[in-house]
Amino acid sequence: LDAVISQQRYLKPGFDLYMNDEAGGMQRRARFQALCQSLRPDLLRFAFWLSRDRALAEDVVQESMLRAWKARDSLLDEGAAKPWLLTIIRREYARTFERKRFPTVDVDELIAKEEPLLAAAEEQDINDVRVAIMKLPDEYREPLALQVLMGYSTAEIARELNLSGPAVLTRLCRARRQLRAACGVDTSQDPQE
Amino acid sequence: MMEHAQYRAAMMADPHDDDAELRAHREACAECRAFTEQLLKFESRLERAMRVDFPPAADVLPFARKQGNAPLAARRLLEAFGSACRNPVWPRLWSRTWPGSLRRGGAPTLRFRSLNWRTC
Repeated sequence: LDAVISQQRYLKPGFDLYMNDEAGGMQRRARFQALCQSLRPDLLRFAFWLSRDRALAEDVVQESMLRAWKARDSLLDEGAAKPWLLTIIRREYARTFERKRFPTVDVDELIAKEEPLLAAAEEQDINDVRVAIMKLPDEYREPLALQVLMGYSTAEIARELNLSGPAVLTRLCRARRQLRAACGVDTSQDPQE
Repeated sequence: MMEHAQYRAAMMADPHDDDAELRAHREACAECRAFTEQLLKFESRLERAMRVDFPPAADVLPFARKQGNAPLAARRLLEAFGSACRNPVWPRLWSRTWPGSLRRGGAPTLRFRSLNWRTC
């Protein structure tokens, strides 16, 4: 390097002598990649319950990570990376429907298609719950995934989904009631609407 | 004091809600305590059910495309190329265009008829 510096002839105009930009960029890139790697399992799960389609979930997460990288400057606090990425995933998922009109698919077909993934659990009761979640309407499945999978509070779900707090509570309550009924749990003690 | 239905609705919306009022009701009401235990048992099933494991092949990285999954435009181009190689339509199309019709004497006949129509 000294030789290069002393001769001065190998340096292009505007070249950063100590490669601060490049090194910094590489470091940022590596850090971002590590962040994505650590959050990836949860993001994939969330995208899967959002779309009920493993391949689509993978595509959505992939595109979301690329978008997140392009918009990395908007992430001011690394601790807020998870909700930030989740918001990107939700938008990217919505965008896939803007770009492409998916044919209407029967829920039973979706369940059959994802059977290897759903039936990966050893216990039958877990599979029953998974099938029941697949059958939940979108407006109940999404807040439930945010709460159970991502640990969001009611206020955070309300903010993310642009709903009121009571609306979120109602949806979560209905989601659990439907799941319990579908899984054969005694619902006689459940509150009636 | 909080009603049973109110307590149960709140618990079904968030079984891990640690609100003081909910806790007080639970301690005072045996039925609601039993309901909570059953609800929490189901909640643990729900949590395990939601933790779907993706196979290791599903390696999604921010800076690398999935293996064997080219961008859509490239995939379409490759598909079109493959289809053209399997079913070559160009020779047939070529034979149906003007050199073919000239060989059969189709084009001059057409022009002649057209001129005929104009003069009539």
